[in-house]
Amino acid sequence: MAKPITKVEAPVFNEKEKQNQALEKVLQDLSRNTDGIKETIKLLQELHESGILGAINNLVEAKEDVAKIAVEQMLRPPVTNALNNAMAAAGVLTELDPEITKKLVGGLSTGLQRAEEGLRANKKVNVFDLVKLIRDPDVNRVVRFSIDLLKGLGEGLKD
Amino acid sequence: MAKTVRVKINGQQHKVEQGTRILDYLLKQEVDHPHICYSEVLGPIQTCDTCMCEIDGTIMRACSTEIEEGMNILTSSELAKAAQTEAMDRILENHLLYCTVCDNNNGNCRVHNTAELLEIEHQTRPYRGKGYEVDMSHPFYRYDPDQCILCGRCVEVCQDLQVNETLSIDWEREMPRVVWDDGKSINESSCVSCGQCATVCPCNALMEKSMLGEAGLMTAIPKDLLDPMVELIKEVEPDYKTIFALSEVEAAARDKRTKKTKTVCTFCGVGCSFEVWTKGREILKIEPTENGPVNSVSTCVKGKFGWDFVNSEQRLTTPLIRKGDAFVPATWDEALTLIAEKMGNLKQIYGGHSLGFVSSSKTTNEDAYLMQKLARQVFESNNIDNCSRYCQSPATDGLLSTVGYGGDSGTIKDIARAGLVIIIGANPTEGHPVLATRVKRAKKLHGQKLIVSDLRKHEMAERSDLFLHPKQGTDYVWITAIAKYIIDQGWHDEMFIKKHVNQYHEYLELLEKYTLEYAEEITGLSKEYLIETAKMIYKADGTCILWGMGVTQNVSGSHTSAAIANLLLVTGNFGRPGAGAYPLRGHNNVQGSCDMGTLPQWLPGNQRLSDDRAREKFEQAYGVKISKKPGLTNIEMLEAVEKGELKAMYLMGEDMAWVDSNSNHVHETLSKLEFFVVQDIFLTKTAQFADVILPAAPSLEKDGTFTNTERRIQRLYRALDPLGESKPDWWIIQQIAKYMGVNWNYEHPKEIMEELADLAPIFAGVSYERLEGWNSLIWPVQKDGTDEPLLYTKRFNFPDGKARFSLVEYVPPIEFAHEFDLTLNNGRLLEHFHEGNMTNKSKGIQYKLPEVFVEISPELSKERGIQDGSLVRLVSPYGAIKLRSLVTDRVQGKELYVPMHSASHENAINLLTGSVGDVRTQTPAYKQTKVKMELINVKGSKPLPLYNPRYAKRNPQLGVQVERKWKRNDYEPIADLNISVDRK
Repeated sequence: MAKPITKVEAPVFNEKEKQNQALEKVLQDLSRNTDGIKETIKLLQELHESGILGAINNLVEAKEDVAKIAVEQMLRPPVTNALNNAMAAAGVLTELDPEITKKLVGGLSTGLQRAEEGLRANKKVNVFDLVKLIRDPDVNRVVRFSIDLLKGLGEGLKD
Repeated sequence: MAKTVRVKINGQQHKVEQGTRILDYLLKQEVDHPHICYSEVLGPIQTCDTCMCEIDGTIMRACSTEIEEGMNILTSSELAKAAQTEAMDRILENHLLYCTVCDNNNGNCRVHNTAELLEIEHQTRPYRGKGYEVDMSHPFYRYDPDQCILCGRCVEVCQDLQVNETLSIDWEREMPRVVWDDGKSINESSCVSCGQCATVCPCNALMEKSMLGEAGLMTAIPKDLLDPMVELIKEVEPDYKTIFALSEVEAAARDKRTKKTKTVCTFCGVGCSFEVWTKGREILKIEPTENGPVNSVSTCVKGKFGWDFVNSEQRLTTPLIRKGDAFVPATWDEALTLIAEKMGNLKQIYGGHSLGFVSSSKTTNEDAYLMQKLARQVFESNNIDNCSRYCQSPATDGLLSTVGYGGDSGTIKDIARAGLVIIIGANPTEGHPVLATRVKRAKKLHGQKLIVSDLRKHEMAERSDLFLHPKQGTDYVWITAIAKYIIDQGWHDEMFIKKHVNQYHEYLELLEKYTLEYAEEITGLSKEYLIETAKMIYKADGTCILWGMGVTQNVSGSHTSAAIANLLLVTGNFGRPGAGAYPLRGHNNVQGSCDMGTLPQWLPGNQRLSDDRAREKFEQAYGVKISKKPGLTNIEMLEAVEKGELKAMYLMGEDMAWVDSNSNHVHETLSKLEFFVVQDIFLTKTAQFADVILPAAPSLEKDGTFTNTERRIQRLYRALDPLGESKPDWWIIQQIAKYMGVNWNYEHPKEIMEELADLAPIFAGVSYERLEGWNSLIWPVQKDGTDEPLLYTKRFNFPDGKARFSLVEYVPPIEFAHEFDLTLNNGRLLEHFHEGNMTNKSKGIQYKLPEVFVEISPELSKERGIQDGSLVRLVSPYGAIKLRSLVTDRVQGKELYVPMHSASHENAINLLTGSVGDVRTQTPAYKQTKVKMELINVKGSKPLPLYNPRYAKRNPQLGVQVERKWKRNDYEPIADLNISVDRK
């Protein structure tokens, strides 16, 4: 025999039970990873004593403002320029054939050696020497190379 | 047999059926061809232009071009790729790719995926905003014009699939955008919140509000930080490959916490299936896909947005036991012990027939089966019933007596392809929305004819070719008169009747008095209308008759249902595609609940209690004697309580106190139960009478299957853990059995289905493996898995294989005293489900449709001095309610309409309805309620807020009309040919 009722008593102890259950789960996880947990505690203590942990906490709390500042800074033209340049330069790297780069670098190092010897020898070059040198196959090669390089650069600048 | 043609695709020879569109074929072959606006369910829209391919040297769209003999198709030639890239470039002018911080970056964003597929590196046209504000007015979704690519998928779905005809794209503006109605804000438009536009939007232009700031890892970033970040990305201009890589990383990370689970809708009987996306306990959104066998991408407001109830604070999370005048939380052990003790005692002293069991139409098949098993095996009682008692039992009865199966004759596909659909006493655009969309679409695109018979001019009545408005409760007469007229004209299917139907001669005798004159006199319908109806049935290639509570909730409900079946038999409309009888089942699993035998005269698998062989099979399986005597129905159970014969009741998932008729009487009776156990997800009115309340888990929190109105069985998967101490119903019932000493030991619902398949021939081939994923089976299912979407193709379900004409006669409506001069029609509305216990927990739904009201015709309002908002009292012989008026021409003359979504003593409709019911099945005659009206206050606030879509005017057109886009000055064709596609 039941008349309709709507009152429901608040389950006070049920809350406590739920809390205990939740805590149980956490304790279980902790007990399974004691070593990692111990190291983490040591780390945290070091960071705390040096004041770094506090600073990090504050930094993260201010995450939105910090992020805003960072993005604002990055938006300034000098920075976007630098970023764009870096990306363009990175782009060049992707296009260069590594074989040629190797050759260039190899050639450059040989050239530097020679140049150093020449410096020590302290020889002078006159106009006739220049004409003779053009005919030197190695010199000719690098002159040809340089001219072609300039030509290609000029073409690229055209667009 | 379609002929095949030979074509070359990307250098390889293929044999393809003639008429296949290129894109359809490529997708079937699992070739990744770019496309954004095309979906099979919508057809070619031709707005995005990204599916271009090279055909014999010309550029054409793959979505709309049909394959022809000898074609040479190249999908990624230079020409094709250039065209596709150009199309994508135009799209990116309209859409900013900030995928990494976009809530739509969930792996299924079409713009993102297609841009990636096309390996877009840069865009030549810079992005520019459109200059319109974001529309946040609607409670459930928002439109961001600045991200809209003008693909028109939303328009197509709204115009031609949902056919609510609200959206269009204004192509003539300088800057086109999607508009609602004639440019209203979303909230003030005719939008019914079905959510399909947001579902099919290929990017984040249309987004569910529940996703914003929740779906992505970084999308909750406030605007004043997000905007500079987006600016930065634009300034720095990394190539898109890098941007995509970043967004893919974010998507992969977010995928780890976004759970996507397939489920079946818990609301109406259409049985839409979709994914539910959850993040922890939070429901991010409902995502229908084209895989859903019934609904594809379609939903209604409840299925798409109505799930707030799952996480409502009012959920029951612990068992409760009545102590004095309060419910006290208890442990499961305490509650179960008490139940076993009390009910066990009563069984011992008074026998199983002193106990009653009320099963739910919302719980799964497995839950229902165990409820039945508990009643019959553990408590040895046949007193088990479900809520079909309140709605479609008459229809089941009518069909069982004529064709042999108490369910729909075919599927939604048959309804869509019928030549004529007749809707009697049903309001599908509000009660079965997605099913109604297919009828609307068939009419709009394929010329399907529609006849509606109803008291109220609802949406389908407005759209019908013929609207019949008979006197309340007289449908039997005009239906039978039309059958007679058809036979008299020689329009009947003589061969079909001879071959397949018994009792024809007796039927002809019965028909004699149902002349057109008689019908006109009784129903008020003119002869012309009746003849027109008969003609339309005769001319149609297949007629489907859909009916609902307007037919069944009357004293003649079962008789009228039988008359409908008779009419279909006369015209040969059974056992063929596009025809048949479709009683629309209201709940997600009322069909299943009946199939599981939660009925006083039926065993699981639609086997009769009186069938000795069937009963023996169950007696063996359960190890008990099962009485041949039918048990008590819901109605009879309450009568038995009054008599002191029924002592206790165990009720699951049913708010009997508000959905049974004559609430005052029901409340009184429920108070008299000696012991009452109620199992539900909320503390409903019914639960207020309980001695023990058990917290149950709703559909998203358990596994199981539902059977929809098509007889289609579908699996739902658990997406969330049960809240608090609530448990799936099958677990609870199993525990009660255990505490009663019977150990069932089911560990998972699939075992329950296995047991059922063993005991029920029509479920023989049903198994969880066969139902995995999006698969479904329509019973009867043979052991080898063959199911039967269309019934009666070979025989009717009787021993001699023949149907029979029903010989029941007309039963006139109940008479009321003269003072009750107004007819009170009642039913449900779109936004709320039934009495609203679940949907009234949704803020958005409550906002759009807050309260109940009484619809009054303009004529009557003038006569009685009533206006919008007037407070009136409606009084019937059984009770009284107080509510506000709404003057509308949806109702006529002395007919009123009150929706049922109230669980309040002020205005719940069943305070007015009486206890008389259908002559054969006892279904209360809710629709035969008469009242008198008293005016309390003339002035008052409108009960239906102005931003409810019923006030707005729709904007019908045929699809997105891409031809208007092509006409624009600034449109340069990419394809060599732009052709309008015939709507298929």
